[in-house]
Amino acid sequence: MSFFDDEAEDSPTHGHGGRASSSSRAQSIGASSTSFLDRLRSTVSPSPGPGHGPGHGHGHGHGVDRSRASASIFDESIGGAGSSVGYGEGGESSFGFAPDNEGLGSQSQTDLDLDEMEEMEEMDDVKKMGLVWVRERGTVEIMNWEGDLIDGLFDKLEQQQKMVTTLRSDPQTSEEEHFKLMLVQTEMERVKYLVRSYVRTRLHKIEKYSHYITLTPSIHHLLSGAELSHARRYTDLLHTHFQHSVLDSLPEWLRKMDDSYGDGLSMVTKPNRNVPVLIYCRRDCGEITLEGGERAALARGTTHLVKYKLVDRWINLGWAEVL
Amino acid sequence: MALPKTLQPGLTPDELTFLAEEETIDIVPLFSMTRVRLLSGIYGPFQPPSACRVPLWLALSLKRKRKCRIVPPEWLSVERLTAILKDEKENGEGFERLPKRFIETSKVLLDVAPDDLTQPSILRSLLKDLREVRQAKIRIGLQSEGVMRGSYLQVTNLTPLELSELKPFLVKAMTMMQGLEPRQEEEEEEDGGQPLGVEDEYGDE
Repeated sequence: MSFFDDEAEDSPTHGHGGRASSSSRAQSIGASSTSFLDRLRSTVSPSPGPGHGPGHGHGHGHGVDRSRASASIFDESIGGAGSSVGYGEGGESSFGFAPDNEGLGSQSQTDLDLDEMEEMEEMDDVKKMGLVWVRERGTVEIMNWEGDLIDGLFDKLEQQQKMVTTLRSDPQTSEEEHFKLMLVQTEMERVKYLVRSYVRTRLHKIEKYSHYITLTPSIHHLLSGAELSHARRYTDLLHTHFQHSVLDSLPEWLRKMDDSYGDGLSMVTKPNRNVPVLIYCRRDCGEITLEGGERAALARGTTHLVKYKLVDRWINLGWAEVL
Repeated sequence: MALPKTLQPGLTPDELTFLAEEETIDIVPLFSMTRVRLLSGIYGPFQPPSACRVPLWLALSLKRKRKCRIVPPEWLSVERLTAILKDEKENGEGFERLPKRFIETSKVLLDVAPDDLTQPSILRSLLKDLREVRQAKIRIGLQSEGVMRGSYLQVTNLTPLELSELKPFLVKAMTMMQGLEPRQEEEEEEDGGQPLGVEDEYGDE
């Protein structure tokens, strides 16, 4: 969904006051450049179309498209994980307390927190990016690389940037448009910050667990190509450095980098899946068994601090949100 | 390195405020402007007497330029907060369900737009009371026996900000408790087989 295609059919003469005069003045310069700039303008100041509800519109439609795809991914993994665990879709848990929780959810769901129940699929990309970032920050393991989301955001950022630079340098841009451009830029900076922090968090995890990542092909699909090659190169560099500085002068049997101690403690740093994680259950996640044999119910709308390894599948499904 | 040490335990209050600023709020603009398209959606049109819904960061940015009046959220009023505070005090067991980011939202609104709130100083003290009542409950709750058993804790209705204050302490306490527990059946083996807590707490240096 490009900004330009989106608005191309729209008449370039809608919107605000300065438009008519600016385009008539610009006609002397050249028709093609005028229409281009007008189209750019109409992306900052969209016309009220039938499909554009206030506050939603563009982002919303996009979100729905994406939800189809992600829903099908979810379904697949539900098929995989769900069959072994035995929980159904939605709230029909085999333990039979779903109805209560549904009731509890809607009852306590006052007007205070309607948006809290918003489903992941209905969110715009920026909101989703926020969630993904929080999830990456809150967990010890490296999570799946949200390539589609990032690519989509980058495309949009790039288009916004082009639009801003073009309109900035155009002398016919009105005061109001300059103000809008400022808002657009403010938001771009916010989104860039989110993306940057997300990537940095992943980079931190990758460097911390680089050796483990290179040794474990089963988690390679969680990383983007660049991340994986960085992990490999980082491990190589680190090992070469250790070898040159210390290991080469040690006896042969002390030179290994992936040894284990007698008690099973390995030299390869792994994510500690026993570290607790904070989760908020967006849906009913059934029951988990704690090590003492006790059980804990993860009902919808509740928050828990629990070992990561006990809830990782709900986190990956998006049923549980990391806080 | 990639992630500064201060950011590693979890989200900081600043970062939580950043997230709170993505949430939407009503404003009454004091200037007129047609719709504006941003990455997160299309907002406007801004037409003086009628309210419109925008993200909080946009509202704050307009407010700082004196271009709008912020309509405070429904819960940010003396009556509602008094009622919530009363419930919170009476409810000895759990916590009241409050808007997820009420602390962050009310803080920025009190800082940037106190003139749009009714009786901001009373609001401020009510919010402070509310927060203290909840903090006291958390402290009492943590002292009660068995709360840390099995490294599991139910913290329903605590907001992310309150949790982020607690998290570093709880995570550390839980890892230590796990380390103290007798190594029961070697099921940890398939999970990595490290003594608990050694890696993530100290493996960084």
